[in-house]
Amino acid sequence: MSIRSVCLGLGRPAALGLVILLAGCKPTAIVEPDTPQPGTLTLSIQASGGQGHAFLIEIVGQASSPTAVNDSHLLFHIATGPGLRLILIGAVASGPVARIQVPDVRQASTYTAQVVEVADDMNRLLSASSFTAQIGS
Amino acid sequence: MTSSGLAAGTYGGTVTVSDPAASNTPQTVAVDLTVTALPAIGVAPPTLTFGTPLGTDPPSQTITITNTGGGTLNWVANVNQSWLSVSPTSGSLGAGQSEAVAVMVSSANLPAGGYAGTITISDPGASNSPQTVTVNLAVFSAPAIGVSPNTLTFAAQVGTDPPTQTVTVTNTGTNTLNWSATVDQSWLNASPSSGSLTSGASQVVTVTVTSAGLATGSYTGTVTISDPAASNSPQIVTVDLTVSALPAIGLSPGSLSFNAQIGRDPPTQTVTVTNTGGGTLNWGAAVNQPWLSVSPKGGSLTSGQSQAVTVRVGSANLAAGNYAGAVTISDTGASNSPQVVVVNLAVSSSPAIGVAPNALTYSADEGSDPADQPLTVTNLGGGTLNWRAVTDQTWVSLSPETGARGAGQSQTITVSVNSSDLGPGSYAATITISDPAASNSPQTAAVTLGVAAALRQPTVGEAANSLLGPNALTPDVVAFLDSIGNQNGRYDVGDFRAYVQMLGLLASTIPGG
Repeated sequence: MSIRSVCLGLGRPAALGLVILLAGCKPTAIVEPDTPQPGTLTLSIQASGGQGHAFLIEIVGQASSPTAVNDSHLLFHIATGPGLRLILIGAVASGPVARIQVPDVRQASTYTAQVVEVADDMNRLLSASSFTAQIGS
Repeated sequence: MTSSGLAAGTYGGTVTVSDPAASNTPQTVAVDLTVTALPAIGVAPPTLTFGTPLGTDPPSQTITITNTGGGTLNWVANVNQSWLSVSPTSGSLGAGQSEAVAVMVSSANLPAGGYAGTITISDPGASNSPQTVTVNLAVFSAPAIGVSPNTLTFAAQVGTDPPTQTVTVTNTGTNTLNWSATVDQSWLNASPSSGSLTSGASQVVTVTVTSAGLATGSYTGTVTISDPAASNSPQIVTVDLTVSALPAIGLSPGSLSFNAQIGRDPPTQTVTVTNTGGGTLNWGAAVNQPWLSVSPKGGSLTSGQSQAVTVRVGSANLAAGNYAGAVTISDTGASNSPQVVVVNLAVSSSPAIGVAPNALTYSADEGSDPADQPLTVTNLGGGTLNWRAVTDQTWVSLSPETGARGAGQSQTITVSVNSSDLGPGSYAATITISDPAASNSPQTAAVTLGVAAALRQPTVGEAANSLLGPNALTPDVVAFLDSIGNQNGRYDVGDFRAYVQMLGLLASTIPGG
């Protein structure tokens, strides 16, 4: 009996527990195509101008445990109803800035992120519209 | 019947009818006749004489009309001069009845001279109508009294007499005015008391008030100027007198003490002069020492008023020692003049402590120390001031704590306050500067310290959460964060970055939330 068939026979909660138990063995080989795939997504920032040095970012989509990509960056967050709010302190021009844990990486396209505030290295606010934030794999 | 020849009276007669052939002859008829008298005008007196000064009307007089006849006298009175009138002008009187008739003369507008008029009393039915009364009028020139002013007002202090005043008596009429002056109060006198004035002439009468024996209060009297021959006699001058209390000198304080260092003048002092009595105190000040002066040197004070007098001592040229002087305040009109302020002066060659400022005020935030402040110690006297400074609070420190300065020299003490261990509140301390040899040791300076509660800075998590979510910071914390950040009036990610920088966290790794 394949895992997939076990999952079908046990129903969704039991199958999910089984998936977690077996995930350390060979998860990609045993997960059904419509089964959530918990994992990590990446938050990236694109700047149309210069660097930003402090960011307030809003993420919409179920996510948790964000971590900074750059160890020299500071990252603060709280969970909100629809997602996360982050503060990232660190010089960023463009590129990945944080990783977030999500329940289903296949739903990456449903996540949205927005730069709410951004400040320069003199702590002055910059135009948030000069920066875009994206969630990707 | 023929009665015209009969006098008034009652008559009787008999008419006898006889015929000898008749059986009853004679027969008689009695005849009674009454003859009555006519009314007759009786008037008395037959002559009236009026005399009046020029420009005046004399009093009225009366005549009496009587029906001295019989029947009824219906009399009418007529006058033949416009200045003459009677009242009533007609009447009826039975036999023997009388009536008084007023006779008036209007002579005010007549020139001086003699006039005659007639009052005619008539009744066509009277046996002696008309009857007349002759009226003689003499309008003669007369003096008139003019007095100016009509009121005199005197003010005196108790025990004194006020200055005399005068009134002017003028003969405003004609002929000679022989006037006399009388007074109705014992304290009042007019001099001269009589005089003669030709028409238009004037004379000054001095009015004297003797109030020395009078108690305080208000009095009224009159001076009456009269001449029976004057047309307007008498004329009255009203005299008002107010007797008030004497002024009295009040001095405070009664003595002054000056302490001066040799070669220097001490600060001025003041004495307050008060009129503690009544009236006006016209005071003057005098000093009895060349080193003593006052300003002002005199003044006027109404009852209850006060005035400050500055007393100055010029001791710069005096040798060391003790001196005495006096300031004398006097007013010859005051009840207690003179009054004296004793002035004692001590000129010393010893050092004297000068401390400036006398108070130091510090303010600090909780956990911090305020900036140091200087305190200057000066030798205001002579010799050498060997000063020592101490404080009664451990949070105050002084540097230096001792020193020596010659006459006129100064030295600065740095006064430090250690408030970092003090909680919010107000604190007080005293710095005492002393030198046993100084003439004014010790001197003090007050230290006050206000410690304000420090702003409680948020943790970095609190600052982050306030930016990320609904956990609002207090307004003073928000203002603080904005003040260290971009100062745009609100708390934002730039301010948060500045705060992280301030906390020294920017270069280290902080795990998220």
